[in-house]
Amino acid sequence: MVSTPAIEEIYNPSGVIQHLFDRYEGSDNEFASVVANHFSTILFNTDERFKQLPSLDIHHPPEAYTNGSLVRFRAMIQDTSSSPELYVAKLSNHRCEGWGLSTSDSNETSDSVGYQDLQELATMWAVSVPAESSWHAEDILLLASSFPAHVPPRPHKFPLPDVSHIGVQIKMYDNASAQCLRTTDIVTFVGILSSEPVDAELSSSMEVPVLHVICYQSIPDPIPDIKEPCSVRRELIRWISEHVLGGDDLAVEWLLLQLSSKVHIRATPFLPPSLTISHFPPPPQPNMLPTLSHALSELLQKYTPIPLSLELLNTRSFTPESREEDLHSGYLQLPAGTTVLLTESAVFEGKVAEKGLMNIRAIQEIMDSQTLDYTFPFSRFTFETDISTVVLAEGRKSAFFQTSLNIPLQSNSDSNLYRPGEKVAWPSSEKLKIFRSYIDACKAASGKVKVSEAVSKYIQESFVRQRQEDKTTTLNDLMHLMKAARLLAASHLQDEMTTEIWERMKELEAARKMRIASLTVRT
Amino acid sequence: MSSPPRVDFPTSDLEDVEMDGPAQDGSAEDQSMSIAPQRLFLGGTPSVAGTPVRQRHAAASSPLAGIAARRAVGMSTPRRPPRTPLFAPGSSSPLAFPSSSPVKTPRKRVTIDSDPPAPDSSEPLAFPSSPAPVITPAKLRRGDIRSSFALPTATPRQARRAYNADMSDNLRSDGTRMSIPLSSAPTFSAPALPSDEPDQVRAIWGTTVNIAETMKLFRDFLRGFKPKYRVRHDREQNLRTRAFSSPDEAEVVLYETYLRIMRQTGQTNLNLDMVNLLAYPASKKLFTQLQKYPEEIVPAMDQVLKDLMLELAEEDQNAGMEGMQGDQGDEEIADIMAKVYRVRPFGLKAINMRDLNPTDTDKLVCIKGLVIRATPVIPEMKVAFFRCLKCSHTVQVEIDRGKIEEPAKCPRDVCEAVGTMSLVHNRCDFSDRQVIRLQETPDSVPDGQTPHTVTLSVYDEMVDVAKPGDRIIVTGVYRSVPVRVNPRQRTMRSLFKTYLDVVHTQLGADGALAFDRTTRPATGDRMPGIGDSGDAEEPEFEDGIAGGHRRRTRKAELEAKLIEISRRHDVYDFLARSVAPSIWGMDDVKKGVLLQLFGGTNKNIVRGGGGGGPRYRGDINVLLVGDPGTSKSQILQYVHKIAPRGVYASGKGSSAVGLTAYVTRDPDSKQLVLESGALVLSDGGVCCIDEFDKMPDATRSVLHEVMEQQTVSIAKAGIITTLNARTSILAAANPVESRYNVNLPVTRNIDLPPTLISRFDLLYLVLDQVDETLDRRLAEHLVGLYLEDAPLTGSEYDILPLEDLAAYIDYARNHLNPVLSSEASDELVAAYVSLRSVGASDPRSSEKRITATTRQLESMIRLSEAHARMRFAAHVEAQDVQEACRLMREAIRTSAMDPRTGKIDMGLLNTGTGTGQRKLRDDMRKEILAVLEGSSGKGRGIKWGDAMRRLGEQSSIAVDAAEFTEVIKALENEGLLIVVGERDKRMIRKVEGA
Repeated sequence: MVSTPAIEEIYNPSGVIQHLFDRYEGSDNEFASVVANHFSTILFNTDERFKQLPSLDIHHPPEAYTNGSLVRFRAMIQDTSSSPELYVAKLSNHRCEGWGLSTSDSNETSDSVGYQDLQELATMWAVSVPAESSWHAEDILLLASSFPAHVPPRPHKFPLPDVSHIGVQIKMYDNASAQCLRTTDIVTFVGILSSEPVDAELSSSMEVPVLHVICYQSIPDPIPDIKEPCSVRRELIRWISEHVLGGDDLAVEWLLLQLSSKVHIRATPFLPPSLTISHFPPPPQPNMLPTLSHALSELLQKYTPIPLSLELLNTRSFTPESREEDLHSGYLQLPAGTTVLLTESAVFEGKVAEKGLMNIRAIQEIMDSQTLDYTFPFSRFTFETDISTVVLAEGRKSAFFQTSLNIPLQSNSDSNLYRPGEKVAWPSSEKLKIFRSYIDACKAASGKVKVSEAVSKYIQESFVRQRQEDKTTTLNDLMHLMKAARLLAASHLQDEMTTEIWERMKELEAARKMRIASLTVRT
Repeated sequence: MSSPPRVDFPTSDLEDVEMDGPAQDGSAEDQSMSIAPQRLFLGGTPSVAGTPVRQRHAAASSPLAGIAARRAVGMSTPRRPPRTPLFAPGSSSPLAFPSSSPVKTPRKRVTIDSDPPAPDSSEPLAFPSSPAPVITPAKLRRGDIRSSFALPTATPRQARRAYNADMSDNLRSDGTRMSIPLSSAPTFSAPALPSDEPDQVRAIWGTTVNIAETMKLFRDFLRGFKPKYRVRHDREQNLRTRAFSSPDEAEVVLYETYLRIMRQTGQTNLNLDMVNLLAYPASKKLFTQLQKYPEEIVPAMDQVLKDLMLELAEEDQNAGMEGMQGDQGDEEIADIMAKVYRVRPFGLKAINMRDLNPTDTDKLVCIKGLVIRATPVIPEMKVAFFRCLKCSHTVQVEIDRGKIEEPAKCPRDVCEAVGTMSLVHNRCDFSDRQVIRLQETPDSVPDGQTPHTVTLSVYDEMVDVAKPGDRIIVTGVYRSVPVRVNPRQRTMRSLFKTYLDVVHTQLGADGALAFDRTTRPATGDRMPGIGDSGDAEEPEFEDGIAGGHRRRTRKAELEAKLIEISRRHDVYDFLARSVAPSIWGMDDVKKGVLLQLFGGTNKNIVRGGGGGGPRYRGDINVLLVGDPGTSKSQILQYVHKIAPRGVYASGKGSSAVGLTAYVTRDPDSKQLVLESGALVLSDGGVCCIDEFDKMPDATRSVLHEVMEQQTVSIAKAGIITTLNARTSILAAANPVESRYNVNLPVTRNIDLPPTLISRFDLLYLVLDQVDETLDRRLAEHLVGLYLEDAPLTGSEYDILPLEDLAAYIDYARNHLNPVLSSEASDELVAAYVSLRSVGASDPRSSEKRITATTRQLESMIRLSEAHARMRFAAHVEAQDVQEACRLMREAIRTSAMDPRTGKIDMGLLNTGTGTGQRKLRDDMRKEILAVLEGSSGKGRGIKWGDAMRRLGEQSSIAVDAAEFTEVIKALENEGLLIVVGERDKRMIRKVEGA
């Protein structure tokens, strides 16, 4: 059934709001949530209706729509620090205000406002989801747009420099729910698009796209159901090993653990590991991304490579910083669940400046404690992150970072690790889909692995034995092993750690240690 | 806006409404009023104030009505009343506008007369043309209270004219103004408050608040409030109250005392704790009134204050008080007349700036935050003086909502030249103004959100009280002012700008982020003004901050809870295990770190030169040296979280700049500014430095200065300066070969210059040791963490949550400064002497161990103080000293050190010894001593093998050779016996006198 009201909601949102307002009898400050409820029940209930909504994205920039159209916008909240604004909720002629409804005929507005009709709206800045892989973002059909490339109005508010994106000022009339939104949250907003100056108080400030939010949705993706996880796992490992990492199964095993990690409890011992793939050969030509990067962008929902170089470190900001009361974004202001690939191949001798040091420290901080400091004048605010980091280093270890895991790569000599994306033998699109869902499922499972009493006894015993045999084993080794074993269990989509997993983990670890040892001896 | 009682204007209603009209209509007034009526008539009233009224007013065009209306509206109300009593003693009502209106009209005329070029040009101006702007001549106003409204401060100005008639510095136009007030000059003494005649009752619009009554109430309050009321009030709220040193103290009429102080010191600001209004039974109403209608009440209070100042001065003069006799008194009174007095209310409960909403508009609110930016002082024009270039006719225009409207043409009928009005700068009135951006502090921002900022406008004395970087608590009037959006815009929307007009600023901080107060000057950084709080002459910060009683109760509760904790017999262990609970063991390290957090007391040698002489640091520095993977970093992270002004730095990632301070160019002002680094930032707190050994030498050398002198000197870009860095340092380092080498002495294992090492009060060797039992427990602990997934709650013992621990430490640091008792000093001396003698007894060993110097003595004192502080004790006792010494010994593992080689005996680390084993050793130790005691050759000692054999004879179980060796070594360390000889020929000899 094609419901006419839904059509109405989409094509004439202001009319619907006014209609709601006419019938509304409650208190003024709850009207916004009434509107939100009305629209979300109608729009979010069924997929088709939601899909009917025009989408605001890089292929459909704000210029593509006329002011006043209802659009949806999947975005990351970048900054919630802009002060709330006051608006007149009700005009004298019993017309509803807000959502950018009032138009040019409102000469009387500023003269006859009543203070009792003032309401507050929250403003924030949202950008299209950074680091989101194109396959994930574009589940909607791609209409070729005839518009010239969109020039984002405030590029400094997007984490990744020189990447095309959409930046929109969000105006939330439903104040209570605006409080629940945090920076780097991913939210789908539905609202009325318009264009207004950024800072209402300065008449000279530039005009930016503004979304008057009617309702929003931020539900996590459903956890995909994977049949026969073990065989998928095997296949995935084989594929990556063969086509991406030059036949190094062990490295792929560890890489997979790293990719399926995610923050589930914020206490230092439980934070996800960070991985260095050392002895990674340099690219044949400078500025080439390894095949691994192409593969990850196909496999992961949110992924970004950061090709480190001294210039980048010394000049770019990795942490968000408030300058002139405007929060500038940094490379690391990424939504939860993003994987970052740091390549060191472009690092040459040179001086790391103050800024570079701070940037290195920020990355290290993410690896160690999954927090990112936003710099504000006279204070720092620590924000929680959930970013998985993989470092590619040419040497024995990373030049800058101490990762909790290090696996030297031993690829076949004839393999090309820098094959460009189009020359990679990709698996069939169904297979790729399964791989993608499999990794998502692993991430979801990693938080749920339980350790039974019996297994924990077993682990304790095995640790004590190991200590007796090898005195260099430290507590950190145990912690690290526990962490990895958990991920290993998760990568089999098991929700319980077993002794087999533990033993398998010890094997993997032993193999890794052996490889490190053999390389150290050789050099 | 929630509608406050906009109830009755039953009687005065009609009249008032009528009078409102003219005000709205007055050409210039119109705009300024446009907000006011709406604010004052709430709910549906705006329409009432709308058109119909206007028409009515047209009829009642008497200028008097206009004034009355303005007054009734509440803008200018308070201004008149004050003036009336001063100049027209007869008419006692504060609102007796008839009397004031004559003043107005002639004055205007006179003002214009004063302009010689066109003496009578003013006539047309008088009121036919535009009465509103000219009615109120130039006067001083409070910036914080809506600048576009007329305020009572006009009075003092004129008053001064009256009294300084003979002074020549007056402007001409001012001088002329004198002529009117002069007549009433002799009667300046403030008359008794008006009796309210029914027809003169005036209320704040839309409310039952009667200005006259309010003024009377405030007057009564100032004349009647005594500290005892506050105490009673606090008691009712279950708050800790201050004991009075004498009954008289409770009976002092507090504000009269303050007023006298103000007169003597020439201060003009009275800080009014609003809680005192609540506490004084008669003035309870004032509290709410002040909160809701600050714009009307504050000026009224100002006036009462001034009246009372005069009244009190007169009384004192009549009473022949010292310094107030005769001419001196007259002078004093004239001085008071000339001054502008301001009441600065504070003491409201601070709310989060996110909670400010439209309903707070024009109400008094209190928020706290961090100053991130402050403009330089902006001279704000209050009254502009224009002169027509053609006819020299002059016009004064008052500021109206931040704008001065330049007259487009000469208002004189005869002239009417367009564009000839030019500003005469030196005849304009200016006031100081500063715009501050206040940002939320990290503790008040909801998780995951970036902080908001609000704009503050500060005026007059409040300018430059707060500097960027300060945490302040401000009380002010919340404003929302409509701004016109860009006219080019198609959509015209009314937008509003919100800000706070500040009436009171208080510097301070709270919670875990407080800085060490002893590091700040006692008198600096304070709001100008007298009378900070009712319960203490020099109130503590928090008391001032608190204000709102709910907050106070919570504070009192917290305090009770903390004191309860401090009474636990195991408070020391309890707190120590609450430090980094996720880390297993390392009890002594935790204890050391705990004491570091408490810190010793900072001491200034008072004798000596001015300024109090040098400062002796009370900060305890701790260095952790140990094997990798022993959770050192975790401890640092924890301390960083809990410490006051904690700063975390990694030695590896820090250039000298990051740790100290550097010079940059400020993007705004293009001036060189000094930006502080970690050490300066943690002034008064703890600086955690990880990877201390990997820190570049250049950077580390800075620490030499920091750790003893507690300053950082910087010479960069032509700026040479010394910054305070009174910080405790908690550093972590790895041993030289990354793992501790047991075969080397301690000093060779730590690759740090001895000069730096000696600056650490506690040096912990955190060693990783392979031991089955220990390993099992560790593994259990760790795996247990994974099992529970809740590392902080599930541990086997009860612990104090981080926030509570922070509160406990903060409380102790701020409230307790323990002093050494005599027994403690004796103990300290004894401990120090024994420490010194250990090193001295064997010359060979001195180079290999860390010998005690006076630094260690100072360390012991600090640690003892910290321990006493931790117990909430006022005096340092012997037990504190003993624990301090134990900690220092434990820290460097002295007990496990071979005194001859300076090497650490891993077997002796007491963590490695199980309890059963320890008991066994204790028994063995007793027996060995007994055997030695009983042995025949007393002075000569006993052979190693013999001792073993004898023990074996006594014991039921076989004596383990290794165990025996351990016990002997321990005894040797304790200095009870000496082993001489080698291998089989070893002799155990008892030390004489030990």
